[in-house]
Amino acid sequence: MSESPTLNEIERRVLQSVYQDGLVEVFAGLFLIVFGTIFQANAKLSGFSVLLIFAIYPVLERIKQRWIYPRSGYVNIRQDPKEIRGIPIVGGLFVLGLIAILFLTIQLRGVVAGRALFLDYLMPPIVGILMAIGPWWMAKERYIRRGYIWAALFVLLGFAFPIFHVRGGYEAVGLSCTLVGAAMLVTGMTIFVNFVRQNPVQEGDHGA
Amino acid sequence: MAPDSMANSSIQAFMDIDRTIHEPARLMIMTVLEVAESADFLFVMKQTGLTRGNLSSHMSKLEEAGYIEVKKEFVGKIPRTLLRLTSSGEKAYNAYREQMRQLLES
Repeated sequence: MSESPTLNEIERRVLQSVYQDGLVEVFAGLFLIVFGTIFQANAKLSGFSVLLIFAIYPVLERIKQRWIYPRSGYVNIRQDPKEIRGIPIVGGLFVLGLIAILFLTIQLRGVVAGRALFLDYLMPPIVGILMAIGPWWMAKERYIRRGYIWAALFVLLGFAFPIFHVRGGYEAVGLSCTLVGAAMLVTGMTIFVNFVRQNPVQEGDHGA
Repeated sequence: MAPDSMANSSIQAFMDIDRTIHEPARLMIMTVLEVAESADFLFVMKQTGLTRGNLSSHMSKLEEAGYIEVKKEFVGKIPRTLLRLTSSGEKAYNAYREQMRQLLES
């Protein structure tokens, strides 16, 4: 801790604290690997992997109770009502945008060619941008700068696969999720292990 | 406004500063709790760098002023002291920051 932190620094540290243990990246990485692998094999089945999100939270909370709270203490960050309202609005706009682009390409190029153009060339960068929103938000609003790296990777891979004709649309999306997920998992595990090593458990009552 | 009355109003503004919050340790505690919906004793201690005894005594003063709420609970077998800002604490904190901003800018 610096000698005299400013109030803004204190606020920033509190916001960062939720992500300092790397666990969010571990679980996001695991989810992306599962989602990406299923998406490459069978895009229609990948919807089921969304169910994993509901399983992740209780497991994450249990691990935090066991490993994190005895070391750094418990905190529940106040949610900004504007942020809560913004999530479904931004998500909805992107899905609508995706449908509109699919519709337009089919109208302009015909059903077969339009679908192929959309799936192979337009969908991967659009999904890349969509996937980048979460880590970008983490970097901007929670001051976790490595979020910019995850966001950049999503966008970069989203554009790179179609440009270099590496994979078809579904496979490109699946592969980029798997690759970014693997990078997140490794980074998250490293941060978690370091966090546990550097922060010993505080014995006794965590109170006054 | 006449110079005398301007000086008087500046002095009055200084005198009106909330001294409960103005103390640096308590200001740090309030800042942590303003960002957090709730936080336990250990978290606030780590974020502010205060010692256990120091935090405890400042916590009591803030609780007496009605600015924070302190709740003791158990998580499994481990006791936990949970702190949160009350609505009057939140109002007082925001008013303090605004007042300080105005004083520094005037």
